[in-house]
Amino acid sequence: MFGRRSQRDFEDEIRSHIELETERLKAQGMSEADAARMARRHFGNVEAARERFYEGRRLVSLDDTLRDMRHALRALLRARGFLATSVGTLALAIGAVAGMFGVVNKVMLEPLPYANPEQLTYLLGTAPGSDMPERFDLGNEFYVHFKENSKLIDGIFVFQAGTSTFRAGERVERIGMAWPTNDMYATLGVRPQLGRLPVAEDRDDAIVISDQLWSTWFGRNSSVVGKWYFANDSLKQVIGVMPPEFAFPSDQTMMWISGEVRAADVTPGNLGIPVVARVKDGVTTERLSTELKQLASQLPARFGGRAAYAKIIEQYRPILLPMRDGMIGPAVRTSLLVLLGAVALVLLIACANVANLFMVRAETRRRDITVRRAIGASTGQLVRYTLAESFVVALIAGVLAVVLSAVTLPVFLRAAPEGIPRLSEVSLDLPTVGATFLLVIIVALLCGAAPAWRASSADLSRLRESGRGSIGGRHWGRDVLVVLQTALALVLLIGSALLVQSSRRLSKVNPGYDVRNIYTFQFAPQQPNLRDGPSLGQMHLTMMDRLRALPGVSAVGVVNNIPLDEGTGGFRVYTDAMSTEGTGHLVDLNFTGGDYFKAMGITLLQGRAFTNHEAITPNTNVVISRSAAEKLWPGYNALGQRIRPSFGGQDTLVFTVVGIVNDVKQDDWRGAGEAIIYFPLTGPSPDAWGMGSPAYVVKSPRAAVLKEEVRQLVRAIAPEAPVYREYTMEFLAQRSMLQLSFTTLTLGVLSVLALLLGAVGLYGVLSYVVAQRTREIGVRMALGATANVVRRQVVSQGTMVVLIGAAIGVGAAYMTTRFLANLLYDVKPVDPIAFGVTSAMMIVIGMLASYVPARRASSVDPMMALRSD
Amino acid sequence: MSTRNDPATREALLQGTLDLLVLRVLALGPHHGHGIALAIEARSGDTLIVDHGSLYPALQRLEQRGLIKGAWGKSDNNRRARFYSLTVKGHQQLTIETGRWSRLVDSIARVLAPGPTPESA
Repeated sequence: MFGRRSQRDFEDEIRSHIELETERLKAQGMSEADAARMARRHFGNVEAARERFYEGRRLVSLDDTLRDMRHALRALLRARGFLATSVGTLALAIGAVAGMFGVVNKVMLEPLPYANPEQLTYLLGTAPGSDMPERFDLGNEFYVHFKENSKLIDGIFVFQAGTSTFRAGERVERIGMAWPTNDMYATLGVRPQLGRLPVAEDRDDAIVISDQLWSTWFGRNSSVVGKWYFANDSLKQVIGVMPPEFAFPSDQTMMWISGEVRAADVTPGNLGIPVVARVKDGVTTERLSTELKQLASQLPARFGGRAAYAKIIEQYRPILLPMRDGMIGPAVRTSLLVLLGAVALVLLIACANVANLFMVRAETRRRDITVRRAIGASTGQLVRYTLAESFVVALIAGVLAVVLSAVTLPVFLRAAPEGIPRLSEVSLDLPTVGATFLLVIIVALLCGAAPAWRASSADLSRLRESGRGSIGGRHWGRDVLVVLQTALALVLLIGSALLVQSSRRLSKVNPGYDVRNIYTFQFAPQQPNLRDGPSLGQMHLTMMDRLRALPGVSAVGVVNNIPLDEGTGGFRVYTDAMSTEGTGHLVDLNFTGGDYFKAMGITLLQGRAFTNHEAITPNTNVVISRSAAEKLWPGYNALGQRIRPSFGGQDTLVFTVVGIVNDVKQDDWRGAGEAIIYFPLTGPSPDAWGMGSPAYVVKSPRAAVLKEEVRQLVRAIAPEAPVYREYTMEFLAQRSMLQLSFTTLTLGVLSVLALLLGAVGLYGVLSYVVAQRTREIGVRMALGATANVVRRQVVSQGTMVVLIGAAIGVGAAYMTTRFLANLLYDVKPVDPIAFGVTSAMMIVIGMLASYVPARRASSVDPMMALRSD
Repeated sequence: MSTRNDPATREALLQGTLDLLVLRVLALGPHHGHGIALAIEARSGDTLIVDHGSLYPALQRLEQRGLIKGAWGKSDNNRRARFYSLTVKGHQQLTIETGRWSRLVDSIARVLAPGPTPESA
C-alpha cells in the first residue's frame, strides 16, 4: 500500500520538482544558477513543506513523542509548584509501593530456591474432637511409615531447629542449627557449593554449614571442609558448604547436623516434629490425604504406644501445607498483604491527587488548548500533548521513587520483625525496579486520562469565554476523585485505628509477671564434672549467689523456658483419678530453681516454691499454675495432690504438688494463661534430667546495664560457655508484639499520609472552585450576602463531598477489615469506636480543608471581583 | 520575458480550490507535481499561481484520502518524478466538487448581478 511514505521519498519528490522547474526556467533562457535559485523561490519554503508532510502522517513517530516530552518538560518547569507537588506525591507513593512489592515479591511470590518448589509440602495433622492443637506437626513414626509405604510421594524428611553452641578456636557462640534427616537434601533438590552431603555412616558427627557462616567464621576458606569443631554436644566434622540462597528452615539457620531416624528408635506419640514431603507430579491433595490417612491408621499397630495415642491417630486428618505457606505464618502473611494493600491505596489516592492537579492545570490552560485546537491541532495531538505532561511527571517521580525506596528499604527491613523468611534477601532488584516503572506507565495513563479527555473535547466556543468563567459549573470529575480519596483514606484510617486499639489493649494485658527491671540471659557450660542434675544444680546455685551479690540485684532465679522467648513444650499428665488408658491432660512443662517466682513477680497463691535444697537433691515435688490446678482437679484443692506425668517413655513416677502459682502468659500475651507444671532443677533421680542452660532471671533496677558484669561472672565460672539470649524482659515484651506494632506503625504512617493527601485534594478542589466563582461570590456579596453565608456555602459544599466519601469509606472498611482479624487483639474488625472516631476525624479534617478556601471566598472584595473580567 | 512574475495580472488561488484543480488536471491523465502546477497555470491562461510549496502537502492529503495515487516514473525529459493519477473515488469526488463549485459560482453571480433584490416568497 502507498498509505505511508517515508520522509526521504517525499524529499526526493521535492528535489525532482525543483530540478524540473530549473530546467523549465533554463529553457526560457535563464542561467543555471539563476534558474536554480528561482525554482527554489517558486517552491517557497522547502522546510515548511517538509514539516507539513511530517504532521500529515497518521502514525505518531518517536520524534513527535520526544518533542512532546520536551515541550511538556519546558511547560512543567515554568509551573514549578505544580511539578514539585505532583512529582513529590507520586514519588512517595510509588516508592512505597515499589519497596513493599519488593518485600512481598521475595517473601511470598518468588519461587523458593529448591527444585520444583511447588511439589514440596509440609505434612501436618488435625484431630478434631481431641485436645490436640488445631494444627499440629507429626512425629518420626509418620516419617518412617510414609517414607516406606507412600506411593504418591517422591522424598520425605523431618527436621528440628533451634540454637546451640558452636566453637571454632577461641570463638564460641550460640548459633542457629537444624537437625534434619539426611534425605532433606535430596527431597529439596539442593546441592552443596563445596564438599559433600552427609550419608548414614556420618551418624550425627558431620555438619554442613551455611554460606553465611562460611563467610563470617571462616573467611570463605575452602580448607574448612574436613576440619573438626565442637557443635551442639560433641566434635563434628565440616563436610560441606551450602550455597548462599539455601536458608532452611530460616535465615538464622547456620548449620545442618547429619542424622537419620530409624524405625527401631522411634517413640510413637512424640508429636511436634515438622515433616516435609515432595509430592509426585499430578497427585491431588485429596488423593494424597486419603493415602496418608490410611497409612497413618496403621501406626499404632506397627509402633505400639498408649491408648491416648491410638485415639489421636483415630481422629487424625492430614493437612497439606504448601512449603511457602508453612514458612510464612498467617500473621506475617496478613501484615505483608495488608501493607501491600495499604500502599496500593495510598498510590491510588496519590494518583487521584495528581489527576486532580492535572485537571486544575488543564482548566487554567483551557484557553491555550482551545487556541491550539482552533489553529488546527488534532484531537490526537492534544491528547498526546496532555499525556506527555503526565508522563514526564510520572517518569521523574519513578526515578525519584527508585532512589527513595533504595534509601528507605533498608530502614524498613531493619524495623521488620524477625522470622519473616527470606527477608534478608530482599533488596531493590530488577523485578522491583521493573514493576516500579510499569506502575509509572499505568500512573501516567491514569493521571493523564481525565485531563486528556477534557482536552480532546475542548469546545471552540469556549474561546469566547474569558480566563475565568463567571459562574463556576460543578466539576463532577473532581468531586468524584475527592470522594474516592476520602473513602480510601478512611479505609486506611479505620484499619490503623483497629490496630492501634489492639496494640494498646495488648500492651495493657496483665501477663501474670513483671516486665520492668528484669534481666535474663543463658549460658551453656560444657564441663566434664557437670554430668548430672545435682552437679548442674550446684553450679546454678553458685552462679545465682554471685549474681545476687551484684549491686542492686534483689532476686535471682532460673527457669527452663522464660516467657515470650523460646516457647514451652507440652506433655500429658494423669491424676490419681485417671486411667493411663485415657488421654490424660495436655499441659505445659517447665523447670525452675532459685527465686524464679519472686524475681518475675509471679504470685504464689498456695503452698511454697522450691527450696535451694531441692535444686541439688533428687525429689518429686512440683509447683503448678492455677489453670493447671483447675484443669486437673476442678473444684478441689490441688495442694498435696499427686500427678503421673508421661514423658521419657514412662508414666509411673509420682509427683506431689507443693505449691500453686498464678497463671502466666507464656508464649504470647494474646493467649489465655497457660496450664503449666513446674519441675525442680533436679528430678526424681540424679540422672533424670540435667538443666544445663536454663534462662537466668535477675531482678534489678539496673537490668538494662547488667550485661557486661554478667558476662564477667560467667567467664569466671565457665570460660568455655557462650552467653546468649541476653535480654531485658521489656525487650521481650516489645518483641512479642513486634508483628503487631510494626504493622500498626507502618499502616499508621500510610494512613496519615493518605489523610494528608486526601485533605490536600479537597483543599485543592475547593480552592479552585472558589477561584472560579470569585465573580459569582462578588455579585452575591454586592447583593448583600454576608461573609458567613458565603463561608458556610463553601464549607458545606466541601462537607458534602467528604460525607459521601466517608459513607463509602465506612462501607468499604466494613467489608475489608476482617482481613486484619489475624492481627487484632480484643477488638472486633467492625469495632464501632474505631469506625466512629476515624470517620469523625475524617469529616473534621475535611471541614478544616474546606475552611481555608471558604475564608478566602468570604474575603472577596465585591468591587475587585466584578472588575476582574 | 515571462509574465509569470507580474503580480498585477495574476491571482492567487482561492482558499480550498487547489484540491479541485488538482483533481481536474489529473482527470486528463497522470501528471507529476511540477506538471500539475504548470497545467493548472496553463489552463487558467496563466492567470492563476500555484504555490509550489503548498502543492505537495495537498497531493499528500489527496493521496491519503484515496482520491489519487502516486508512483515513481520517468518524465518526458527522462527525469525521475512521482506521477499521480486519479482513482475511481477521485473521479467521483471530482464530479461532486465540480457541481458544488458551479452552484457556488452561479449563486455568487446572481448576487453580483445588477437589479433589485427579488421579494422572498
